[in-house]
Amino acid sequence: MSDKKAEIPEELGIEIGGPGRAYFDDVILDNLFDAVLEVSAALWTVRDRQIILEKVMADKGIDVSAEIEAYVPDEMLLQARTAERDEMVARIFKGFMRRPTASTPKTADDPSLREITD
Amino acid sequence: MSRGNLGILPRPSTLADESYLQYVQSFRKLLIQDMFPAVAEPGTEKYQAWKIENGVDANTDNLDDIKSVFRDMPLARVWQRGVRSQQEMMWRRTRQSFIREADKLAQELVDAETKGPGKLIYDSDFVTPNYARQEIHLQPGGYTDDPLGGIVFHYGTNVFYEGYNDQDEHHTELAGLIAKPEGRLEKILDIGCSIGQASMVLKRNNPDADVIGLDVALPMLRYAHKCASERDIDVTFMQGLAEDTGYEADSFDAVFSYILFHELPLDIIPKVVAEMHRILRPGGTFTIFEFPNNYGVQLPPAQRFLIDYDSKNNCEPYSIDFVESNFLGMLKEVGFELAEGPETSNPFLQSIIATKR
Repeated sequence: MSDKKAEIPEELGIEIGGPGRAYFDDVILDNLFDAVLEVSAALWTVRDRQIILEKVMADKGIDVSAEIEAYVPDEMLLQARTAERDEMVARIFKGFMRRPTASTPKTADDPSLREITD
Repeated sequence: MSRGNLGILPRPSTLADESYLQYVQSFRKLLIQDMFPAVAEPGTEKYQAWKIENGVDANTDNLDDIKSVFRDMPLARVWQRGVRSQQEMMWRRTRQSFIREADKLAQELVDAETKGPGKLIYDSDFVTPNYARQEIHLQPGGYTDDPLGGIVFHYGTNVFYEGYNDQDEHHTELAGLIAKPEGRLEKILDIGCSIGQASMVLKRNNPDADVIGLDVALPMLRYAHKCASERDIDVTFMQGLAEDTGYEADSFDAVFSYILFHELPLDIIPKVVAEMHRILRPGGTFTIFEFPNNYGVQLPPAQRFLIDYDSKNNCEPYSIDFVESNFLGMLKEVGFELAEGPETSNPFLQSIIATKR
C-alpha cells in the first residue's frame, strides 16, 4: 500500500500525439476533416451551453453561471439534447454518405430533367 | 471544480468538456451505426463481384483481397478517418478534463486504499510485462502507465459505448449471464477486470460469494477499489497476471472474462486458459464474452475489414492473431467442455461457457 500520491504527467500519449495518420491521398483532406470536426464540436458546445442557460434562467433566474456548471439534467432534457445533437451530426456529415463515390452524383453538365413514365 | 457524478458516471470537470465529448459520442454513433453499414453493404457486394471476376473460390476469403477492395471505396476512407479522429479527440479532451482535478483525484485514490468494505491488493515491486503496456484503444499511457487511467478509462469508454453504458448497463447484462456452476457458487474470479464494472455487478448479483477482480493494471484497480468503496460493494481487487495468478488449484467456482483474450499476445493465451482450468474446481464454469474467431468458419468480409482496421488504427496489436486463432481448440486442449453461451445485445461478441470436468 502507498500513502503517496502518484505523479501525474500533464501531457501523455504516443498514439494521440505527433503528426497522426493520413487516410486520404491528399493530407489536406485529412486536415479539413479534422477541422470540420473540431468546428462542429465547438458549435455544439456553444449551443449546449445556451440550452442549459435558458433552462436554468427559466428555472431559477439567479447566479446562472454556477447554476449552469452544477446543473444536473433530468432524463427528458438529456434525451432532448441527445436528439438535437444527433440531428446536428447527421446534417453535417450526411454529405459523405450522399456522395459515396465520384460516379453517383450529377455533374454541372447534366440537365435537370425528370424521367416521366406514363 | 468537481461536478460530481451522473449516477455512477463521473462528470467531466467543465460543461464545455462534457458538451464536446457528448458531441464526439454522437459522431461515433453515426460512424458505427450509420456509416459503417453504408461501407459494409456495398463493400461486400463489390468484394463478391471481384471474387467472381477473378475466379476466386467462393468459400475462400483472403484478408488482403478484402482490404484492397474495401479500401478503394471513398466512403471507407472517410469512415476510417472519422473513427480515428473521434477516438483521438475523445481521449485528448477526457484526459484534459480530469487533469484539472489531478491533485484531488490522486488524493482520493490514496484515501480509498484503506477503506472497505473490499480490499485492494498489490505489490509495489510488481513488474508489469511489456506486452501489457501498449496504448490500447489509443488511451494515453494505456491501462498501466497513467495514474489517472481509471477515471479517464471510465469516461472515455462511456463515449466508446455511444452512451449505452453510462450506468454500466452492458456490464450488468453480461455479468448477469455468468454460467452457474454445478453445486456451490462461493468464489468468483473476474479476470482482466479493468475498473471493476463487471466485478461489482457479480458481487451485487451473488452477495454471498467472494468476488475477486484481477488485472495487470494498477491504475484501473485503484480506481475500481475507490468506486466499490463509494458504493459499499465488497470486492477484492488484486494486481496480478491471468497466466500466473498464484491462487490454489481447484479454488474457484466460477471465472468470468469480458473482452480480455483479444488483448493478449498469442503465446500468453494458452497459459491463461491453462491457469483458469487449474484454479477452477471440477464442475466450475468459465464464462467468456469475446471477439469472434475466424478459425474453421468464415467471418463476413466486412467484419474482417473492421477488425483489421481496429487492430492497426485503434492500437489492438494482438487482436488479429486472436481472431485467426483456434481459441476453442485451446480451451478444449486443457480439458474444458465447451458449450455455446447465451445471446447478448451485442451480436459482434461470441459467448462461450467452458466447464471443468
